[in-house]
Amino acid sequence: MTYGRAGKILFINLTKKTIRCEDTKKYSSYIGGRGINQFLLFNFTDPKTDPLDSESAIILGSGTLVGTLVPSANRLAVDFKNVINHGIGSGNSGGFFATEMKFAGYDHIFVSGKASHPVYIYIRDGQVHFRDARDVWGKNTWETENIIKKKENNSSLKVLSIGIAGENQVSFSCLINDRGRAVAYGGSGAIFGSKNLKAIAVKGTRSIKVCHSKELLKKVQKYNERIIEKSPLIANYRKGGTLLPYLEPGEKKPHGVKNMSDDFWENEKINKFSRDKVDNYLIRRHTCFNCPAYCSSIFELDGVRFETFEANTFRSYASNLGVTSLEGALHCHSVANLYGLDDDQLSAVIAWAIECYENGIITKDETDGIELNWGNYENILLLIDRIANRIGFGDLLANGVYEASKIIGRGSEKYSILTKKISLMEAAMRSHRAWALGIVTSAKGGGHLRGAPAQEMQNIPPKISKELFGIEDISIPTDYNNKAELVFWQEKYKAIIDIMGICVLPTMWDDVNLFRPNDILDFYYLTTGENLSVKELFKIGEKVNNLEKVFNILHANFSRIDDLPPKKLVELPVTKGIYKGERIDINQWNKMLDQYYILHKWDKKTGIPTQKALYELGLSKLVDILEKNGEHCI
Amino acid sequence: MIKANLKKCVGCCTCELVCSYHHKKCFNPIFSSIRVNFKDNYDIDISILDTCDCSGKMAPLCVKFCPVKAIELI
Repeated sequence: MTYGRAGKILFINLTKKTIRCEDTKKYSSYIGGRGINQFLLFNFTDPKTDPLDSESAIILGSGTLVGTLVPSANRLAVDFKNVINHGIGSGNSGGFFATEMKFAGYDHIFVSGKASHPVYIYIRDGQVHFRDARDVWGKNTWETENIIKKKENNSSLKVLSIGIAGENQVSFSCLINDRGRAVAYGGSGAIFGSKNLKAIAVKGTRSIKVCHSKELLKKVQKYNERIIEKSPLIANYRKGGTLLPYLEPGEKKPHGVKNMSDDFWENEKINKFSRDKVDNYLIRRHTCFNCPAYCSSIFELDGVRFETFEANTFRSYASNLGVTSLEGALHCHSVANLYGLDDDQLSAVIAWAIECYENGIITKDETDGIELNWGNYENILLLIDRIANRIGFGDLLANGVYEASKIIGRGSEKYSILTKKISLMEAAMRSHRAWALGIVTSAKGGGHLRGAPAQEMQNIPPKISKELFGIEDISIPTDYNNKAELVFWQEKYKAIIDIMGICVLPTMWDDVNLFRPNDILDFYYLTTGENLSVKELFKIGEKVNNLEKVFNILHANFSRIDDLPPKKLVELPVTKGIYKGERIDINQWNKMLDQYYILHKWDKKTGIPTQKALYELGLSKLVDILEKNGEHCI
Repeated sequence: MIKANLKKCVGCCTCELVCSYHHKKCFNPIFSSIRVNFKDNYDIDISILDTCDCSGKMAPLCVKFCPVKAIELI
């Protein structure tokens, strides 16, 4: 009897139109979700394979606790080879798709090959159908979802699709499920597009059985009453999603401003996005499957309804592009969802282009006559359209900042804010040391949803941080001490969260009372019947992180230099506000990075995991693989 | 009798999960007597099926676990 899991992994070859299945338990040492995804990606991807080759794979993983009563366990992990930097490509989305995938019979779906013409895959209760998608090709993500539901005569099936950006293999295009949930970072949309795969639709009527069901119900009820209902963070999420806690401190909080040139944005501008103004467009509060935090919302603008306007959306289309029109920012976000574009990367490439334009590096002759300036959302919308359709100047930007700045040259590189060739669209990196370290060292190339600890922003007393993380003091954001330790802890914790399929928002990341390790273990035991200690659980998280690190070395040749911060954050300080003058001190950074490598048992010079690290994690085979590839593993 | 308040519902479908548990001791919305349906415009429609056998019970699971108290016993 399989408890908690659907029990099967589906392998699909689009070239041959064949399928095969394996038991999930064969890979149980990686538990599920991102863990099993990464194991499959590592073992089935040749370092020479281009991410957009037919041989490349994209793997969907529904977390182990998804589909059970465990609150907020609804996440889909998607892992693949990064389209821009050829290292790890990794995204994660909420909504309802991951749950339906399990009800349809599969914990993971591994897709390789390339269809001879556009197709979508329809999976219903273990049955896999290859459907002609030539009539859906060219449609946006919402049209695609509606058409597939109609064609399959089932309005309740769940759809994961690409828009026009994915079809055109825009390097930062993404998958969208449930109309508004994006699998951002890495170019998952381009991978689907390169395979002529328009969508995967799932519908299931199979049951998820858990090992100790009565006790699980009791545990969930107790957890909801004692933890969820008492959390101030959850109360804030319920009132106004992630935007409310993000904007409440106003200019006292760091903001990513104008291509991350500053971290200060005035209250006068921030207040244009206050919750009461945003709520003018609110239809109702919304949530992902079985999530009591209900941080999402449905908005309506000009008769069109769409999901969410969150902290990241604000940063993407307001502060980072200088837009002060709420309707303009809302419009950009909904259009990005329709095209299947990742908000963060889209904002970063447009911000880079505007800064280059303002500094005379790019002229109107090259931008198809479009004036590029901060805050001009009408022109930003024109650019989004050109990027998704790869028209003119948009075709250049569709390659992402790294490639576009290489093509343009002329000093445009100065304005590219990159880590591991991936552009950043973040706030607080000049003032918050652990936050910045987590973003820069992230194996997927940037993003604050790997090792970047929001705990650094919670003003946690030293006594509590010692008790929870075994770390003395993390309460001063600008202090470099103890921050490597915190990132090392958060990386492992986040891997566990992604393996289990829990949403990171209502966890210790943002409120230290939520989903503590012992709670996760209780939920895991009651669901699967499998007993693990906290130490064993964290070791699995560390193992996944090391697997990704080695993938990056073999596939993208990353080393220590790729863990250094972008120059702009070292050279340009914050201009005003409580963090005025803050920037990254490169000497202090290097000391912090040394400590980060020591904790990982990675070589300080190269970042390559040592033999000791890999042996202790049960990854001894990787030592041979590294050596065979000419990497010295000390 | 169970009644759902559509104005309060956020669409988490937790009621479907616990109701299926009530009937079959597993998680599977197909066995649920309460159905949450999403329309194309994100509107929600909730139906209570005839298979609901919680009328007169003190604390049905769907009432107990709904995070927004959108389900009540009348």
